Amino acid sequence: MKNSDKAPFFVGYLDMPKQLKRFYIPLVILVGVLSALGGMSIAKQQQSDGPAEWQTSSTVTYHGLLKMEPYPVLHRINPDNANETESILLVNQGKFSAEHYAAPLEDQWVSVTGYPIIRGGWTMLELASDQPIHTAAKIEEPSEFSILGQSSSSVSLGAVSFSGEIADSKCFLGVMNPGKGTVHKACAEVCLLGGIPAMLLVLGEDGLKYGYLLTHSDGSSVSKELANQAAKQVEVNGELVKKGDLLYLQIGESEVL
Amino acid sequence: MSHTFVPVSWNPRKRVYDVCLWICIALYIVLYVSVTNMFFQQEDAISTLIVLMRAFSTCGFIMLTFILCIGPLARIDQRFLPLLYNRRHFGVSFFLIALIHGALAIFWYHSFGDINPIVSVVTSGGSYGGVGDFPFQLFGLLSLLMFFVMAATSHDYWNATLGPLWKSLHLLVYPGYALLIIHIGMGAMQESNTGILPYMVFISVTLVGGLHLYSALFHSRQSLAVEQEASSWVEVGNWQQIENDRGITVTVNGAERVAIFRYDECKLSAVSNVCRHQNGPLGEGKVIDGCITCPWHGFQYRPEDGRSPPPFTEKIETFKLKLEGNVIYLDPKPLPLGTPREVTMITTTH
Repeated sequence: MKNSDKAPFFVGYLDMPKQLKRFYIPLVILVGVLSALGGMSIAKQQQSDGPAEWQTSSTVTYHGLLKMEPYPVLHRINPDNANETESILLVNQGKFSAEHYAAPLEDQWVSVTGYPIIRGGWTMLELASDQPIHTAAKIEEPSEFSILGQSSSSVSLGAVSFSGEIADSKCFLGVMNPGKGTVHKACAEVCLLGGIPAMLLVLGEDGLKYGYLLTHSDGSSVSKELANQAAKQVEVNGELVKKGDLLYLQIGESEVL
Repeated sequence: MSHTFVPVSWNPRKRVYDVCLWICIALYIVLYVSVTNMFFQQEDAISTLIVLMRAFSTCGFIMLTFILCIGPLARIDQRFLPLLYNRRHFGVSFFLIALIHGALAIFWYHSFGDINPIVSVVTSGGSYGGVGDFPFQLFGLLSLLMFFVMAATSHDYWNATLGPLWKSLHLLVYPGYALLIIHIGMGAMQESNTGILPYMVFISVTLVGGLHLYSALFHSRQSLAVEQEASSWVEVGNWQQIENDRGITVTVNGAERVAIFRYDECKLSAVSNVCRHQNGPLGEGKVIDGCITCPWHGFQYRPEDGRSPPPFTEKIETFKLKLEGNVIYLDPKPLPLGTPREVTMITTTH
């Protein structure tokens, strides 16, 4: 085979031939421009899984009635509307349940300090690291205690069947955006193993996502058992139960498997 | 070319190459993050670490696609050979970008729980019971390990130490690329919102596959094939087909590759076609300053004895030639590395 002598011969440690310089200067500029345009256009293609927020700049402190349902929940009077109550899920830092701090104070009036995680009508509080929960010095408003006790009682809404994705509630509600899906699967599994409340994400006919906290049919936590189902699309039958303003889907053993 | 090993081998060309490369990387990542922060704010803000993971992963994927295209591009058009010259720095840069992506993923998705993050990479996110549920991150981890092996052995020291194994080891880039495609296909492409990702993968596979196929079909290293018969000498052809200071490549019995050069207008020399450095095709090189110069990295050998000029010590096999009229004859039996032999002089006129 005869080598063509038309192409300039490049040797790395010698000066680059002029013909090659004329070839490379516009090529390098073009690649630089394409790198910039590529970075911008690929970034623009992303979609947010929000609106959701994890407010980490400062802590807030909420007062209310602490319940284990079985996940730690603080029921309190809505500060903007005294006729309404709201239920706030509590989780620990990292990928852990707040059960360790909350269980000893069940059914007590407490103050809880942490970082709010907010998505839609949901509020979750990630406990602050130092003494996050303690009992209030006194029960300031006994009537509130009674109202919250009533509102947080369990109300059955009947048998239902839902299709959706099993997720960990902490990431989905705002700690991560996006906090669901295949890429997030391993994280959801670690969270569920740590006792973070399991949640079924159901896409409603209106295009909105609805979340149902999952428990065993006896009301106990099902997070660890569902860990290996994280991020999977499943069809679940169970009993829909309302406690405070949280909806729970109580599922049988066969549903868990 | 160098005769001593230094941690990173640079020269002005390589510096320019690396600066251009890292400017492009920085432009991509900085603008990716900036545009994300500009368009997704407050309640719609995408988690910072996820943005960084995505920026580094897409950047690395584009880099790997580019790296895999350099070889066939350089074969199709020799003007791309300068890209090949410093491809190893490109490869190590790609590995660093991929490593950052992997480290961010382990930190963000696998840490802060009850399980050791490294154990979690292997045990979480799926099961080994079925193909569909296989943890996608394992494919990424495996490909990262392959790229680590290549990056760690990219230095000339390992090239010289490992010998022929080095080239085989660095062909791991292809299974590494395949694992990466599976990693993306079973991971990010399973999301409901994949954005531009499927198009990126399609373009990458088409480019890499298409260029390799095209170069193999139409620009394979052309070689003059000759058969050795009873006689020890094989006829190669007319010396006039060789341009001065250039070579031709001859394949004898489909195996031995020999490069025959003409230099100083009237001298002929036959040496192995395989450069000792990275198996570069010497027959596609050029005689510069009296030395056969490899087109890949500029390693040089004297045509008289197949030895690199001092202080360098590389040696290649040499072959005997003879001329009958205008016709070159080659003795395809290789002489030991760096063996001098009589220069074949062209005495006839054309």
